[in-house]
Amino acid sequence: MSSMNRHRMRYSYGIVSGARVADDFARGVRDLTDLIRPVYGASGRFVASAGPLGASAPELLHDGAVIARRLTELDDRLENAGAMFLRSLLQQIDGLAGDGVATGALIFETIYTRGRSAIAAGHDPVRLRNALLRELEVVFAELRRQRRLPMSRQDLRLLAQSVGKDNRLAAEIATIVDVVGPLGMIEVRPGSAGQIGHDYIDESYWPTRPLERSHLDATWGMRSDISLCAVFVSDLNLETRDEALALLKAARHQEASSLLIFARSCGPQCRSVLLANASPAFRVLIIATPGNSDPERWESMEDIAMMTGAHVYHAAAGSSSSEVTSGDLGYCRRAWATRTHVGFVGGHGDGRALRHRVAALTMQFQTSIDPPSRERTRRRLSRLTGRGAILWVDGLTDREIAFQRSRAERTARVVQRALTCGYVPGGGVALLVCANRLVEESNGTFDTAEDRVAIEALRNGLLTPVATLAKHANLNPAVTIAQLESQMERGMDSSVYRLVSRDDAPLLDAFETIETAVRIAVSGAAQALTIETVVLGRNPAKVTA
Amino acid sequence: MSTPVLAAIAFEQMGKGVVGVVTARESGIYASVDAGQSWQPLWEDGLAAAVVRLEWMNQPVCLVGLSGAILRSETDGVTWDLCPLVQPAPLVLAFAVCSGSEPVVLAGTHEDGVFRSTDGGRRWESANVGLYLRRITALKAVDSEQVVVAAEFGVFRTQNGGESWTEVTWIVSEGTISAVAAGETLLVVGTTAGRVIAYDLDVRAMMVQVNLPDQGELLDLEILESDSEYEILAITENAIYHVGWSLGEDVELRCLRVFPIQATCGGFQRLGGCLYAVAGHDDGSASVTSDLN
Repeated sequence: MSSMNRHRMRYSYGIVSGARVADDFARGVRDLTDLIRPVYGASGRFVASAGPLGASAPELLHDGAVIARRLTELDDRLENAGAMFLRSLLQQIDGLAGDGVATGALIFETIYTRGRSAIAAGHDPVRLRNALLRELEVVFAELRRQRRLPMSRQDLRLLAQSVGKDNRLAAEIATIVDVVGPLGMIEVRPGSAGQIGHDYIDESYWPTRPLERSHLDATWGMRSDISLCAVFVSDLNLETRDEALALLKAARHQEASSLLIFARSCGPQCRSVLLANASPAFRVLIIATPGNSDPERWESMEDIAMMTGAHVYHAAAGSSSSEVTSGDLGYCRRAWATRTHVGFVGGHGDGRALRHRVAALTMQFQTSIDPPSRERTRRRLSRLTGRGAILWVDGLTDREIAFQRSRAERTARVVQRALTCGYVPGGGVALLVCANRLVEESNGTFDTAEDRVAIEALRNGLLTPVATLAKHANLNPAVTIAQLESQMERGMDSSVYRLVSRDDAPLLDAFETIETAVRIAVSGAAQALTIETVVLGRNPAKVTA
Repeated sequence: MSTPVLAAIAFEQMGKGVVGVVTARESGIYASVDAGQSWQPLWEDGLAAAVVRLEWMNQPVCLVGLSGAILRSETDGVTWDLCPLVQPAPLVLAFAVCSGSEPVVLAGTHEDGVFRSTDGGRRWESANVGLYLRRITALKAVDSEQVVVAAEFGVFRTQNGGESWTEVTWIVSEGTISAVAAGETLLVVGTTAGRVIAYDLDVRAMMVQVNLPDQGELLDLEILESDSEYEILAITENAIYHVGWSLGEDVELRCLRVFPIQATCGGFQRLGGCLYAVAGHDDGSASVTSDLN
């Protein structure tokens, strides 16, 4: 008995094949694309999303990725399968490029719809898929030809404007990215209303909490600053008086003016001894080891130890702080703690070892293709190298601040990636050039009928973004495309929807965004075209209804 | 002036004369405004290792780096203001001026990296974005925007007047770097073990490596302008050397001067189009060469 049959018996799967797959699956794809379509372009509109219970006010969405995330289910199961197929591709685009979701949706929907029509007319889906994937290489070659590097601060501003659709934010992000580079960490925080600005961070700091809050000085906004600090790095649960005394003795032996302790927890006995020995002349800060999981804690301990020259006391290794000596403590010139962060500067770690660690992590960052892993490595590098910035965003309401924050984070991510990957001018126009290159390359001759269909579908898919921009501007898409094609040196300023010189193009797109959106959308559509049968989960009654 | 051990020495052109600053290990800082003929106490304790002159708002300004602060004079060294840095006090070792339309001054410190002033040296802010090795050993301006800094085990460059730093990742991490110099295409580092290594900035590769015979710590390096070949001057605690080479030919090493008494501090100074080497010695004496150009 096949595994499918076994499952059918246990879970009552529903199986749908044939024309219905084409129609309903495509309808789901179209529904999701139509939902995202309005936000495409620099002057794209908002989409309001009501909560599942309808009790709260609708959420205003301006980001294709968030819109796709909010759509969790369509009523019709087969349509839902189509929508969810596209949704998973869009999430992939968002994860890899941080933008380009709307572009991907538009391209996918056009290619899929045209491809389905061709298959309904008798073309072979597998040959069509292969032809699409083959022609994709022509598109990539043309995109790479259009790519430009390096990026000036003005280029960064134009790109940030294209992604974030906000002038002030674009100027701030361009300035920050130009300074911190592709490896710097940009943290977005809410500032005061009407204020947008940035501060550079050349210290190493971690989000964590003090284990003893009485250290924090209320007159300085619940902050404590110490200098010439001995540093104890551990994930121990400090409990006894002996442990506290050993730490104090080691710090005194090091002739430090203060003691910075990282620990998992600090019990009352240990804490009381530490506090009793603290004074304005010898201050003690007890901080929770940064990290939300053991691997994160180990990473932060390693990095702090590397920078300060401390020996790490691992709880898992059975270490106890009662054995600590002055040689086990690290040292830094200044440290600070607030209710939410701890930071230090001027660690006395081994500079040569630090340099090797930075080189290894940089290599890891450059070769990693997993976005969360890249982000984690970037955070570590930023802390090790003191290369970061805080971007303060404004807003009159919590909702607006949250929106600004997410927009700023997304924009900063895309612009930072573009520093190494480059940009293509003109956005939709770059794809238009690719579409024309396809036609030129084919030279009007096709080996098979599927080759012709693939080129036509791909060309139409690549033209959809420009056509959508034209529609948003109440222009005739066909006329606009014809105008652009006849004046290929001109591009479209989609913020005001008028034709402008390519050299003055006020909007840019990140190469990586466009390349990722096209790759995933086209390969996803090619794959979707070969779907003959859909197996639906439980509740088949609804399918057959 | 008594004969203490000199810790730092520097001269700068000011007005019609030359301001010299020397630091003695035990008896403080002295300044001379008559080209070293006479010396007046400038600061009673602490160390100074750097002096620089710049034009700010069409007015000459002289800065002297101390421990935790910078002395600033707009009166040709007659009166001085104290401009604090941070606590705990870092020792200012070197200055570099990015001479754009509004000069930016960078001060390299032994413990806290680089500080930056955009108002002619009145206020100083930490400028270490990307500069993760903070024990600065040398700081040199390349042109109006570029500065190169040596930080014990690494070399960093800024191309935006100190706003951010990028590590020169491809240099060989061998020995402690104590001196650095850079030109358009050449980067030269010197180590505490008396080794001079020159790199080609375009190719990102080492060009030559020279072990100086005295193996003394490199105090300073200077690249000489030359059309046909590469020429470097190196000052160690024992001698001054000329290193020259052309592409495809052997390196030529010449000793220009041997110090009779070991130098405790020293460097190359450009004054009025001339290039001098100055050194302070163990016995409190100072020596200055003739023009090395």
